[in-house]
Amino acid sequence: MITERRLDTVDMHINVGPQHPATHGVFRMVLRVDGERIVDCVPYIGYLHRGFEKLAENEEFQEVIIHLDRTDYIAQFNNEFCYLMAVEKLLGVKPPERAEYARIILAELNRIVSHLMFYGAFGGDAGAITPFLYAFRERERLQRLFESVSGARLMHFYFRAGGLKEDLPEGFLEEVRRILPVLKQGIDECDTLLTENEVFLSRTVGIGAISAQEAIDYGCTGPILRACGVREDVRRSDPYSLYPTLDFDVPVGKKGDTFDRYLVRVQEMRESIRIVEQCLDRIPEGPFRTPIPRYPHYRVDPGEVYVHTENPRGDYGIYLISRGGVQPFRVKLRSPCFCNLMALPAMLRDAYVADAVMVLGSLDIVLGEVDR
Amino acid sequence: MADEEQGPAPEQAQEQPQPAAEATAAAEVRPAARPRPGQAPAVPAGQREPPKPEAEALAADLAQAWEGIAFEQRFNFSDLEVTIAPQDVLEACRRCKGDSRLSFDWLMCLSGVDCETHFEVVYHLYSYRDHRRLTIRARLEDRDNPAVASVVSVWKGADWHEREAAEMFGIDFPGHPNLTPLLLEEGVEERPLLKSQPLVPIFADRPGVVQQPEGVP
Repeated sequence: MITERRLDTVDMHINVGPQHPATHGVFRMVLRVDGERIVDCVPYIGYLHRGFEKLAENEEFQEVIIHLDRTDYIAQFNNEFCYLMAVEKLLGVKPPERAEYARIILAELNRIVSHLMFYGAFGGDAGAITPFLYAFRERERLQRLFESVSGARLMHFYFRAGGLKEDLPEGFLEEVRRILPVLKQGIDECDTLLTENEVFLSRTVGIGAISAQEAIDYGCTGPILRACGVREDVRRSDPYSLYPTLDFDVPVGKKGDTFDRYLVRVQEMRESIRIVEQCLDRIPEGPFRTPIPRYPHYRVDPGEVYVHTENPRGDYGIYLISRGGVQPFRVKLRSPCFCNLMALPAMLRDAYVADAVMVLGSLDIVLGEVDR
Repeated sequence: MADEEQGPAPEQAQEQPQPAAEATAAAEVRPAARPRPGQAPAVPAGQREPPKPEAEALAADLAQAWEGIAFEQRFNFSDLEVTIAPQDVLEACRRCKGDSRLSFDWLMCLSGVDCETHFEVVYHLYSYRDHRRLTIRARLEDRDNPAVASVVSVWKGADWHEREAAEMFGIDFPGHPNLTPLLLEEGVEERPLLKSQPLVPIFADRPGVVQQPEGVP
């Protein structure tokens, strides 16, 4: 006799990480799956926690910059920029115009480097190796420039309170001007490699979508939020430095899915080139640093300030409290990846297990900044 | 010129340059000096800039929307900053997000601060609609049992920030759905960001931790 039997399913737990190539660092998530569908996701972070905030309280204002390079280690200039704006606000010092433009040029070039890194790694997540090589060819051009500026490839330690460590090297601006058209062409090439690739589209379009409302509620910022169609960029909405005088667009997506996040970043690279071009035309000769008494062991007036800037990964905030000494009293880092990662369970709900890697890749996390 | 200036008080003039020269020399040789209380400037750092018109408008809106909630306000770097009691935090935050006059839909940052005499939890809010900022400061006077209601029910983004403040300072957030350690290893009893916690490796005496040999910088 044949009887009909109901199929009972039991949820299964899949552990991803902490050591896994798809996690872009040391990150662990436990997926609860029903068949191929993800029911729930629990992220675990902290594997790279180095106690940045505690270290910062025990070092001088200048020494803290070194640690900031190591938080988001793909966008070092942008991190230094944010922290030093906070210090300068408390000091009541304004950097000279040359330093401001130099900072913007370096920060925007760093944004391109960071997005190229994302582009290569994201292609790799989707199974395409070639884009990685193309992205790194372009990245290398910029890395050489950074090396000529600071002497280091990754940990630059180049911005200082009141300006820069030293003036830009001779011929740097001409070299940037020479490289920009090459870079533009390179980005266009990258664009044609992935953006209309059918396999890539089928792995990204409509995957891991999140609504604008939910993204704001979770505190998502940067390309994640703009992919949802929210035209928000700190450089525009709460402008700092000389950004109000520069002309650039804020690209946004429509659906807030993985593909839109990718597309927003590719367009942002082009906007960054536009910003750098304008800065090259305007950067004046002159001093590169405003003198500060007792530099580099300067005292900072008592007070507190919260400064946020638009980093490649989103809104990077520094809450700095000084009690009038040579060391900060408290430094809190509002890390964009930390907040974007909080929304990961919402993005993965009802997605397929195979898409988890793509969604995580589209967040472009840097664990050094998540864990601090 | 220098001699003429030193003229009226020769004893002082001879003494004065020496400590100054010593101090600068010392600063060069020994850079990591302990912070000494600096002289208070004539104008506090936060008051150098006048308040923005938006911030003044916000203060007026806040007075209406926060009816029944006691708060102190001041302008810090041209933005509005208010201090409230911890028991009012949840209601104040609810109104900040829900009240149409305020509509602070984004919790930018939530930080715990150990002020040595008391704790503070600082909320930095931002309104995407009006593009304005507000800082809310909750003073937790009870140093032994610091607690403030969780605002995860208002902004989901408060989740990990509160977990971090809880493990780093020992601040309790009643109402939080899952107040477990986030960044630190399991079994850490210390509260690393307390000012009373010295900067030493927490796990130095654990088995398996390799000690740095003496003399290695």
